Amino acid sequence: MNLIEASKGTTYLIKEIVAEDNIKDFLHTLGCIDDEEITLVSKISSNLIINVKDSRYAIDKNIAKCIFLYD
Amino acid sequence: MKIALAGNPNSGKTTLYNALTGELEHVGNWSGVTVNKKEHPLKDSYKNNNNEETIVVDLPGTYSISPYTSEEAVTHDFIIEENPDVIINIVDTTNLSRGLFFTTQLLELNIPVVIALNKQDMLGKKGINIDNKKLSDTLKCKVVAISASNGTGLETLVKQAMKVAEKDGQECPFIDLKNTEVSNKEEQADLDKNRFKVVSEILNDCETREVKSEELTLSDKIDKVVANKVLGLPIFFAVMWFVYWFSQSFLGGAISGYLNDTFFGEIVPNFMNELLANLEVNELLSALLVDGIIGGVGAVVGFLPLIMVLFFCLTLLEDSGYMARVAVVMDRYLKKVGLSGKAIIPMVVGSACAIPGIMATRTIKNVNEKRITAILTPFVPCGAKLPIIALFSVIFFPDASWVGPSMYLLAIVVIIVAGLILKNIFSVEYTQSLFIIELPEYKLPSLKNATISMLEKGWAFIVKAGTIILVCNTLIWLLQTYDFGFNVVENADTSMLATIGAIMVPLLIPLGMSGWQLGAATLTGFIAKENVVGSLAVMYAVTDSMLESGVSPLLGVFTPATALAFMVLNLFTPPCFAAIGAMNSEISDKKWLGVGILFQILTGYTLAMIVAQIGFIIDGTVGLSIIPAILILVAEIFFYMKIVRKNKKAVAESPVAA
Repeated sequence: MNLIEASKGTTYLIKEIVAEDNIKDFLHTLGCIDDEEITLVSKISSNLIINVKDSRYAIDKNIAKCIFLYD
Repeated sequence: MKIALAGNPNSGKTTLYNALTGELEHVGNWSGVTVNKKEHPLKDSYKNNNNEETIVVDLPGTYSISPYTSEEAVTHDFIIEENPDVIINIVDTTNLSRGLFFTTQLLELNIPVVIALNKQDMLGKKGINIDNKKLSDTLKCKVVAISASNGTGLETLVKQAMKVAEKDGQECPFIDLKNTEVSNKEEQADLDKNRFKVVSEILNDCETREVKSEELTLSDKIDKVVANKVLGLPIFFAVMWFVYWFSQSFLGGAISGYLNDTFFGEIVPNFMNELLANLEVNELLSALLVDGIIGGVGAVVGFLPLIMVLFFCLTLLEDSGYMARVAVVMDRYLKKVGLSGKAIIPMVVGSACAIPGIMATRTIKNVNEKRITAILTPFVPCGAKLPIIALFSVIFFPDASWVGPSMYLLAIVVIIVAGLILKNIFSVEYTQSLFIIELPEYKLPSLKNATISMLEKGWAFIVKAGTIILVCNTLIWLLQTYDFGFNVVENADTSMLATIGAIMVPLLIPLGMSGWQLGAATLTGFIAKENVVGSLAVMYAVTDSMLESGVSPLLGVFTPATALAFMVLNLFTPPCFAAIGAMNSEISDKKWLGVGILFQILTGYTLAMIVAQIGFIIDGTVGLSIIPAILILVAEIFFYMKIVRKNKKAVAESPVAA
């Protein structure tokens, strides 16, 4: 499943990121890499608030769609 | 000796830089405030009997410097080129897991590194414990706990940095990472993964957290309200309205009113007139001093409190962490124009001054989005335009409180429409804009920072008034006092300025305005917008209080409709030369820049024309000027359609589309 289908307040492991190189590279440097923990903190204003490596980010649905998780 | 500061965005590099050097660089609680390298000598108080000059270099924040992606390679080469004797790696203590990733890369450069664990004051609050000694042993470099905002630990940090700088290079504890050869993306991703693994292992040993970071914090709860789908936009408008009300009507407005009416209106001119009369100064020289210099510069300086209070409020706003949330709220709306939510940050920053606003576009990754944002940002009325708004609303709309706010509303409408038009002109293909932004934790904004920023801005403004504005006003006065034969003219209508200003007069006809003075005032506005008010004061040879008063000579020049149009003309044409310079460096493409500036000129002109003509229709005073106005509008629409059609054709013919 991808991040959009994830439930709030749950921590998942990232399976893979399927996106253009520039997005993928940027997500990597933030610590969004395979087998890494990611938490969906909340959803506000059509954006998803995620927690990765102790930091909060707001990402839009287009990016969330690229992040695939282990069920 | 050279000390470089490097670290993640928003880890506090510039705060540390300011503390170490005594500089007053702009800081804010959002990622990407610093976009240019800055350098300055270390403060004397940090030098321990060492007379060697020490330069501190502040670098823009970055998450990574792997040399394999082009963007980060720039930062990588930058550090190598700077060739510092020591790198102070600033790491946000509350976010070691991401910060240390960057540290592992820095340790491979063979330049001595000292780690500054910043934001120590936050540790207790977040229930984090860090074993600094163990961390230092593992990383094989010195670790110093500091709080850049409170100024603790800085002396130790500088001492350690100087000691380490003597060393010859830096031992790298992660030989395996360093020796990994990377030749493609896949291998790069694997290396990043290993890097994060190494960092996780270090943290398992050195860090304990009582509260897990994924748990809901106070910031998250505030975000649920502030960035809410329904409430987000009204809250943003309310916040901005409060900022402008506070700076333009309440505090700033009150002080400005006093300065304009009493201080520069009566006290200073009366005093000067008396003084000059007693000294029996030449009449012409006395007129230059009182009407030209004091009248013009005073007219501008009187509005200084408005600008200072505005800067104070906006600095508080930036410091709180709210900016990133505004980007989240606005993302939905700006996407419709093909921009991302990040485009709102340059615009809010630009409401103080367009130059830092335009520079803030650098955090936007997509190059077309960035360029369009850089062209749109100057449409937001900046601090220098406040005197124009304030002056015209006081004279022509004394009982209407809607004029000031309506200019900001108009700016929003213009930005949306202009965004769509620019997208078509430049034929930017519709790619879904992607949005990702770090949400820093909210913090109580520092009154000290805001005060410093306000005083600094105030001082910069006084310097500007004493240089550019003074020169422009003196020049205006001289040009209107002499004719081309350098004879003093009886009537300014035969002066050099009248001849120069007259070139602009035909252009003003569709706007329903006449008078070479208005042409000249608009021209000086391109140099600096504050000049518009100063020039009008000089040319109508009155000090500002009279310009602003019920018997203002401007009442004879404008009707309310043309006054509004003149205001719009000056607000929406290109802001000033300095802002155009900033656009040039951010846009970095001559064609884009040229089209952008032309577009801004046409936008300001067309809007002024529409405002004037609608005003005439409402007043029932439609004149012949409506004919050229309609012709111009039709021509503009025609050319716009032609460009769009040409672009469509080009896209259809391009092999990619086929």
